[in-house]
Order: sequence, then structure tokens, then C-alpha cells
Amino acid sequence: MIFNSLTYILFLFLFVLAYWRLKENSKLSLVLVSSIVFYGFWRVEFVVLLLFSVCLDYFVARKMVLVGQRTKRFLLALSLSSNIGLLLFFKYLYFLHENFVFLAGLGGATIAPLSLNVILPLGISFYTFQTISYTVDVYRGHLVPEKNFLAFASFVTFFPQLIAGPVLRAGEVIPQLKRSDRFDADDIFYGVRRILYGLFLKVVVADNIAVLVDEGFLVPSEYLSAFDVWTLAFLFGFQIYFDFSAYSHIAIGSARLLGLKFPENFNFPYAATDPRDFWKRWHISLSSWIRDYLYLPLTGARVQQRSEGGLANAVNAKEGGSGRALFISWSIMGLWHGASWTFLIWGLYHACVIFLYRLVSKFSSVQVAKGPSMLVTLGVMMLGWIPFRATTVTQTLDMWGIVINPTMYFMPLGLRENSYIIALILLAGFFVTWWFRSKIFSSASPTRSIFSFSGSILFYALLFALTIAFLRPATQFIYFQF
Amino acid sequence: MSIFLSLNKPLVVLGISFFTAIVTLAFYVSDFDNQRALDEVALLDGTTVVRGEVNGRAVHCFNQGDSNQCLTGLNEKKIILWLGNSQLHSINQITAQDQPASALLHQKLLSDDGYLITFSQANANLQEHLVLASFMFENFDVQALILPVFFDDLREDGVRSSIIDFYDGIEVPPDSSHFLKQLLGDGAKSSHFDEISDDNTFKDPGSLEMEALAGSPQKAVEGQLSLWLSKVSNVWQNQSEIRSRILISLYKFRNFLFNIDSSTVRKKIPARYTANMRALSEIIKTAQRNNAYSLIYIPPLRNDFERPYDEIEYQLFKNEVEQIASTHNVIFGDLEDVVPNEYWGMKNSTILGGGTGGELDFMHFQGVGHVFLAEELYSMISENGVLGDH
Repeated sequence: MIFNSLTYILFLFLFVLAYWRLKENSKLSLVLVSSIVFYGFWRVEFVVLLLFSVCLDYFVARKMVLVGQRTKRFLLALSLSSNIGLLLFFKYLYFLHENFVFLAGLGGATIAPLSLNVILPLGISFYTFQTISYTVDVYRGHLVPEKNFLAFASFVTFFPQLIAGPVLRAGEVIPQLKRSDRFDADDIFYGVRRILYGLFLKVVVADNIAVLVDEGFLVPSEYLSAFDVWTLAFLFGFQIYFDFSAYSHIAIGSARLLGLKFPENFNFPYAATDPRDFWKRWHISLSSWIRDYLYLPLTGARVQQRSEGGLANAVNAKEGGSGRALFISWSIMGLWHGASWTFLIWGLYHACVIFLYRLVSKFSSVQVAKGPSMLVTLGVMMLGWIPFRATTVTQTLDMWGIVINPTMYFMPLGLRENSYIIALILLAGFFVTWWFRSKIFSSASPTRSIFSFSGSILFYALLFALTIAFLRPATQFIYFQF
Repeated sequence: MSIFLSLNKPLVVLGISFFTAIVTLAFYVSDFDNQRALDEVALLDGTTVVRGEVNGRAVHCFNQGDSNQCLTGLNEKKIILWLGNSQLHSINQITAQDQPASALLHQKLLSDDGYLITFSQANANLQEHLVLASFMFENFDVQALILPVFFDDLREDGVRSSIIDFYDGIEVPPDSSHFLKQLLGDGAKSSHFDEISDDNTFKDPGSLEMEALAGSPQKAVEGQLSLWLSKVSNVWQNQSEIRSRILISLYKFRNFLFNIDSSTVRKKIPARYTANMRALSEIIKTAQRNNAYSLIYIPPLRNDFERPYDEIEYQLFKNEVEQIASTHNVIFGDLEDVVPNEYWGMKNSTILGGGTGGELDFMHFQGVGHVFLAEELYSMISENGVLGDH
């Protein structure tokens, strides 16, 4: 089911109504059944795959604590190979086959095209990471396996975070699902507010930027000037930020309607002052996952057990760390996003940025002022979105080539005027909001302090009105494809 | 239920806000003129949309939605097809006796046994004309094509869904050009599309409303919910029009901020220009494959004020169109000066708060202008033997 739809609003309303009317022992059943219905609204047949993943990791984890180290390791391998195997099959089969065909072609062999029609199951990358983290945590002894199947199944399938995260840990969600909090009207207010913000950002902001981005990335590179490439990078940077943070707002808000508190997934990432700061602010739950289950184990460092903090310490120059682990982690991070060389380039780009940042920090003691460092970080991060959005490696390299070629700054502009205006408005809007948020609203809720009663009504009425006018399931969330 | 009644103050704020939003939107839509076509919302009172009718029958249509009114019963008939933009269906400062050029030319051609059908859309670009022309050539006996090439419209891109809809359920012929297939592909339908054009007119989003649900069981449920809500709520029924008006207001605000009006010089957008010129060549080739005449013309433009174009770019454009016509050996006419300056008009301001009747209209003219245009085209058709034994 797609969040930006009437169906979801009705579904959520009925679900919340039923949830708070049910007795404690029935609530988990409702969560599980509703989550399956939610998922089935996209493709019924893939519910089986989701439940297979749930059952496998539930039983493997339960068994792990009863057996010796050798069998335990075998069970971990079974879980990992099954989960990653499914992910490889559904997500990477075409990519692997295409490259195999290409390589075989270089050797003069011809290989028949795949006759299979493989559809990528929605959310598979997210729920696979969640189940992997659960099994690994049990294996490491960080987590006691969950006895209650309903609770575990509800954790994996929990609809607000099923399709595009946040990627949460069992220890963060299961206790909350099992704990029966009292109904709190403040939670309802908070939840509805976050859902409203999310829908607004998605249907009013992100979807309207998408039109400019889609059209801009269709323009052949020979017609683009350096300013056009920068504009497209910024536009897409804002589109993906608003799109994905909108999803996180709705996920966090929907969970809060049941009294569940999810950690934040974004924190004004474009206000970061260096790459380390950026990865503390962007897609925090995934960054934290990569940190705990990939990067830190590769470096041999002590892992953490929470989906907060992001990749900050993995980027931290002072802690050093192995370059090998850095590049492996980022390659996997890139390929996790999509089965394409462009995503690998995106990952490697960030690995290089972090590597350079470490080097510069290590050998330079010059303290750069906050403003210029924010500006440089912003530019570097925005340019990093080009391979993420470009359709081919050639397009990526062409666009990067344009940016670094001084003569391309004197080319005629190749986009419609609105693209430049909207990119500037978004940039200004982002920093004004960040400034207000961090300087003015930092200590109290806007509703209770700064805004008057009538001011709040005006503000929310405007959000409601615009959301109602623009609400339509015209585009999916970008992260649905991952 | 008592639990839901124990609301706290913030929830009351949200409740009142939601109610305020609904009441405001309901008040807003109560003022809408439901009869006005969505894509003409910005033309308003200075310019009137008129569809050509002859003897009570429509001879001028806009898109797939109303095409039956023009095309029913024409399968065996030889047709002359005229494609264009809002210049063909708009009359400035209209009077009771005014008719659009489409109706005037149709009547003139009838006397020569020709049957003219016109299709026009606001800000139609040549890629859209290629799609529509291809459909017409494939399904009707089109003996000639009349095609104005507007410099303004070369800044437009993509194909609106109400034009792509001509191909719904109809397979794209395998011998169609790669470019046409590309235009009809998913990319064109889902993303390659501006909702708002240069002159702040709105293009219909049509069937794109539920694009994200394609192939999912949710689509049917969403459709039913939306339908039900449209029946019980005037706001939901007018949702797309509310959206278009909000976007148009934003564009007017942009014009206000940057002091942009109809006289502001617009530079060409290189990639769009090239794509449209490529479409022009494809249209001509399609006509030639179907043994039809093509009549390409530079449309009328007022010249009593400085044109809103870069003069060098505009002259190069005219030369290029003439060159394409010459290369393909088709009829070409420069009708730039056909409508005298006194028969042009004014349109509503495109600037927020700019009032009515305040801007020069470089695209649409008065009723007499339509007479001049129809006569000039008729002369070209006659002189070039388009209606002869072809």
C-alpha cells in the first residue's frame, strides 16, 4: 500500500480505531494481520516470501541459543545465505546476468537472455536487513531470541516501516509492541502531525520537484552547461531528501498513533559541516546498520546496538580505520540501493570523499569556519547524487565531466527557467527552516510556544488544504525501488 | 469511544485546522466555472475559447476525450488535418458573430469537396503533434496536413496524457519511428511532462493520477474511494482544478517577483528545440509515407511591439523551418504578417495582482484575424493544388 493515497488514510484510521478498542492480547494479532493486508495491497503473492523470511529467522534464532557454537554458526550461515540469497535472486539476478553476458561476449561466447520475469518484491532490502540484524544480534548474544512468534512477526512486518524503513532493531521495536501503553492523546496529535508533514513533503514538495528532475535528466548531456548540472544535482538532492524524509515522517507518525516511538531517520542533512556530520544526519537507521553489521565488524571494532548515530564514527578521522573496510562497506551500501553500476559509483564516491576527509583532517590542523565548510560539504554531497539519479555510467561521467570543465560554465543554459528558480527557493527554504528549527524552535514545540492558537490553526489549515489538493498516488516513494 | 473524546488542546487545534481547510477549499471551489476546460484556466476573460462548429457538428476538437464528436463517421472520408495550439481556438475580445479559423476554413473547403478537421491544444508542441498526426494517418484517410510551427511551443516538451490516450488499446505499429515509440513509452507518459506551460496554462494530468498504483490491487480500491469521495465532496471532485489554480497562482507570483510578462524575452531551450524540430521532420515523413500533402507555416505574430523572442534565435528558427520544408519538398508559407496589428488583442495579466486586460497578447487575435488566417490558408491550399487529384 502506498502512503500517499486515500486507501492508506482510511486503512490507518480503521486500524488505529480497532487497535485502541482491542484488548491487550489481541493487539499483536491485529498488527500482524493488518501488516499483511497492507503488504498484500501491492502484490498478494509476495506475502508468502515475507512470511518465509519471518519464519526462518524466528526458528533459527530460537534454535541458536539451544545448540553448540558450531551448530550456531551453521544456523547463522543458513539464515544469512537464505536472506541474502533471496535478495540476490530478486534484486541482482538481471544485473549479474547482464554483466555475465557482457563478459562472455568479450570472450566471444553468446549467452541466451533470461526468460524469467523477476519482479522485485517491495521492501525486500529493508526487511531482509531487519531479519539479518535480528539473527546476528542473537548470534552475538546481544539479544535474547523472541519467544512470542506474533511479536517477532509483527516486528518484521510492521507496516509503517515495512517498505522503506527506518531499518530498526528488534530490541527497539518488539518491547514496544509487547508493552501495552495507555492511550495518550498527545501521541495521536504527534502522530497525525508527523503524517501531515510527511504527506505535505511528498505530494506538495517532492512530487513537484520530480517533474523538473525527470525532465532535466532526460536532456542529453551535450545540451547541459555546468550550471545546469549543478541545478539538477541540487534539485534531485532536495527531491530525494523530501521524498524519503516524508516517508520517514509518515512511518514515525503512524507508529506513534499506537504509542510506538521510532528514532529519527533524518536531521537536516544538508546543514552538515563535514562528511562525518552528514552521515550522522542522513538515513540514520541504514547508516547505523551498515556501521554495526558491516563496517565495524570489518575493522574489528566494538559494535553498537541501536539504529541511531549513523555512520559518524565510521567516518571519524580521529578513529582512523581500515581503508579496505571503508571501501567494502560503501560498495555494499551503494549496491544495496540498486542493482546497477551507477549505485556502486555512488558508494565509491562517498568512500573516496570520506577517505579524503580523513587524510585532510589527519594532516591539516587548520580549523575551517562553519559557513565555508557547510558550503563545501553541501556541494560535495549534492554532486554525489548524480550517479544515484543518472540512468547510466556514461551519463554520470558526462555530467561530472561538465562540472569540472571550466569552459562549461560559459555554455548557454539548457533547462527551463523554473528549474533554477525552484532550486534556489528550495535551498533558501531549507536553510531558513533549519535556522528557525535550530535557533527558534529548538527548546519547545511550535504549537505551544511561538505560535499562537490562531497562528497554529492557520499553519496546519494551510498544510491540510495543500495536502488535500495535491494528494494522489501519482508517484511512488523513491526508496520503494530499493 | 470515550477515549477519543478526551481530546487535548493540540488535537483540537488539528481538528479545527482540518475543518478550516475543508471549509476554505469548499468556498474556493464554489466559485469555479465547471464548464471551462482545465487547460484554458489562465486565459480567462480577455481571451475566449471557441471550438469550430459547422452546421451543428464539431469540426474542431481538443484531444482524445472529445475526438468522437469530430471523427465519428469519417472513416471513409478524405480529410484535411489541421493541428495547432490555442491560437486556433482562442478569440480575443470576442463578438457575437466571430468564428474561429477552423470553422471558417472548413466552410471554404467544403465548397471544394474538402473536409477539414482541426485539433488544437494550449501550448501544443510538435512532439504531441507527431503522436496525434500518426494516429490520424493510421486510422483515417488524411489527404493533407496543415501544421503551424510556433516558436513559443518549441520551449515545450513531452506529451500530455490526453494525446497519448489516442493510443490506449491501440498497438503502436511496428514500422513507427523510434522517436514516436519513445514518445509513447512509459517514460513519456509518467514523467516527461510539464503540467504548467510558459503562459501559465494548465495541461491535463489525465490518467497519471494513479500511476504509482499500476498493477496493484490497491488501484481498484483507490479508484472506488476517489469516485465515492468525488460524489460526496465538491472539493475532491474539483481537486485537480484546485491544484492547477494553486500552481498557476505560484507562477503568477513568480512573474510578479521577477517582473515577467508576455513581452519578456524567452530564450530557446536547446534540447527541447532540437527534439521538437526532430518531431517536425518525423511528421513530414509520416505524411509523405501516407502520400499526403504537408503545408507548413510560420504562424501570425503581431509586430507592432517588440517580439518576446531573441531576434537572432527567431530568424534562425524561421530559416530552419523553411529549410526543413524545402528539404522534404513540402509547401511552406510565412504567415507572420497575415493578421494586421489592429486585429490582435490584450489578455489578462499573468502577474499576480496585475488585474485584467493588461498585457499584450502575442499569440491570440480577434475574430477578424481568424478570417484573415482562414483566407490565407485557403489560398495556399488552392494555389498548391492540395485538393486536386491526389
